[in-house]
Amino acid sequence: MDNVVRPTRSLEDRSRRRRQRFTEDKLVKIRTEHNNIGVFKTLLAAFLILAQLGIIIALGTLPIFTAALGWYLLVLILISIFTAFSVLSSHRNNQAKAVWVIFILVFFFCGFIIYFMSNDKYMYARARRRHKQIFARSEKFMPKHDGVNVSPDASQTCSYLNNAGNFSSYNNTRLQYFPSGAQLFDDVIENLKSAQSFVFIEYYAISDGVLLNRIWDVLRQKVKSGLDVRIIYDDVGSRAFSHAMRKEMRDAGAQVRVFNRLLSRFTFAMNYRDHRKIIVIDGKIAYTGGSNVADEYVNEKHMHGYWKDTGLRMEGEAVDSMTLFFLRQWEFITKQKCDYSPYFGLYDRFESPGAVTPYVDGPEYELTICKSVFESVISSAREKLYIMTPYFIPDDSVVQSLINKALSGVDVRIILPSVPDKYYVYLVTRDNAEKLIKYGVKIYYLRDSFVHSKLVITENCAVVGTVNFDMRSFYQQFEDAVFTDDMSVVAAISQDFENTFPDCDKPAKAARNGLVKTVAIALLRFVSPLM
Amino acid sequence: MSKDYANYDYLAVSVKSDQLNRILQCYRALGWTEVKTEDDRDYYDMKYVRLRRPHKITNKDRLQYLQVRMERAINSLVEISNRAHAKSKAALFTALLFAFAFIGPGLWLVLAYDGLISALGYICFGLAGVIFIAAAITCPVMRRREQKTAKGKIIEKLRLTQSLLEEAALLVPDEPTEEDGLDEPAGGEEVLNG
Repeated sequence: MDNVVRPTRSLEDRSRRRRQRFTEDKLVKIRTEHNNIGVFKTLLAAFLILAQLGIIIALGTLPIFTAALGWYLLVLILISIFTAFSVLSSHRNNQAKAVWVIFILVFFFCGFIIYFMSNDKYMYARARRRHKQIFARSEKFMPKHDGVNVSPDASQTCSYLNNAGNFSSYNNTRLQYFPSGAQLFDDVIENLKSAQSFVFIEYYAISDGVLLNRIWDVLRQKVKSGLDVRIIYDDVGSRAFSHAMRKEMRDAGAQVRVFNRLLSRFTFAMNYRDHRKIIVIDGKIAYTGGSNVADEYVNEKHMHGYWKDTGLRMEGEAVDSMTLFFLRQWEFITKQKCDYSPYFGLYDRFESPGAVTPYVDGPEYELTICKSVFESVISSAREKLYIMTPYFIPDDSVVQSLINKALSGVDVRIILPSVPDKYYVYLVTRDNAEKLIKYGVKIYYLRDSFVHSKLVITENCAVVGTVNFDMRSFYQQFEDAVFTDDMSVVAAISQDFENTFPDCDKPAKAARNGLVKTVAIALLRFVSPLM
Repeated sequence: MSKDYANYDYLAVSVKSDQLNRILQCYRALGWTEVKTEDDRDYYDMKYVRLRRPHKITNKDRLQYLQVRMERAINSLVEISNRAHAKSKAALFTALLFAFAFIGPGLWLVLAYDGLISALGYICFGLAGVIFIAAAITCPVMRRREQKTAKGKIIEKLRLTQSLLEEAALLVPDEPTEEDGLDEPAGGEEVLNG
């Protein structure tokens, strides 16, 4: 018996091969966020390893170089030891340090090369200096907001954000939570129709498809009428953003720029991706959340089951921060000084009881802001702590905080996907999550779905944004999020959680793995700090 | 046929010809309407169906979720059927492999040697026979058990599909409203089938 239903996209998509009997066993076999750059880097690493081995073999076999071999190996070992010390004295997390030291010393003939090529201290130093210059210049344009009313429970996190990254907190901001990507983008398109002066779009993944066409149908008219449309997309995330589409946008008058193209190909630091999702319309409305501009995020296409995603709309004072984040990145990419002043203070004022603090994180900051905010929010939970994340590979300190909260009687629940997008990451995610069950953490798997939402709420505050519970989000990617104590949003998100729980499977205890799976998980866990 | 993406969502599915009506009923329950049905270009035993639904249909998120679950449940019926006897087949294959592994050397020992060594060959034959008999007894038993398990799983999936569709029927508005973005099919181009 063969599959009876096979969703297909269009007649044009299908190959024109000879008609045959349908024998496929699977529903869909497409993947997003796939990383061809990874293949390139793997080949580059393999080449370096082989080149080094070639040199060593040549020195060992050719009689005239035999004496040189010993010296060559000694130099390699000394460099490796020096590099290992360098790793130990770095500001990485301890797990990552351990993995790197072992890797460098075991593969002493090439490990240090790969380490230096993936080290942001060396590969990202110039970029970081430029970021600092842009930060210093752009701060002057930001209107100051003093005397912000923040609830006592949220005040510590707001203070941390204010001091760590100079992120302002705002009142007078209206928030709207969207429990799905489809609802988010319907709202985006409605508001794009009334855009009058500028639209800023910064996305990790922009892909050709129905959603992009819907957005572009609106923007095309706007660009023709003189609207300033600027788009930043990430080179790795937006592999399906076609050259033809970009050309059409540029020809129409939109400014479309790519983030981090060269760096992604020639360093091993493949995780320096612009994972942010920001839309700013006229300085009056801003959006963020988990959804990218691609069909699967609005369930136009089903790639890993149902795609659960979320988003947040801001109107009011806090939009200035999102504008600032976009313009900084724009200035960084274009290398042209930007006049920020025309883009601030354009918002309408809204009376709102809560405080809103938009923030970003990335290699341009020395502190791990996203991780610290999560830790702060976790520690502030008194009654409940709900988390929704696609990946769960945090470091020990976050895990320990969750365990402590659960043992203290806080209702800790984590919603994860039941359908993986990356199987090896999912193996570790499940294993990490299920190990918490015995401490009282409740783990939920949303049936037949891939959960891509990135949410953390307690009884008094919420974080909505692009930050996953993994090392890449904590240490390497450019992320953005919004921290708020606005109880209307907290209630809306809480309701979304409550609506989602009945559709989840909740294991009573950790699953027992077979030998092969156990070994695979052990190996993956070892390298998980680098994932 | 031009598509009105502002007001409609479109879906194209390839469906097994003999299951067309049943599958279309499922999609109708989820608010989809057939626009066109034609022979699949790639597969002679499939029909290619184009469907559409108002873009702003009420309860869209829930309907999308139910649709995905329904599609996965329906396709899992195929997987369950295809893999129903996987273990018994593997067991039979392994038994045959072992049996022949004994027969080969046994034949060689019987034909090439006399006396005690030749007797070892007959022992090998005996072991192969035992394996054959064990496989002949256990494999049908395993097969029956697997069939029972598969049947249970299929019933479970069918019940799930039924419950999903019942929930969908409650969510889909009976009469499409203008707010849903539904209008008359354009210019009589669309042929309703099913």
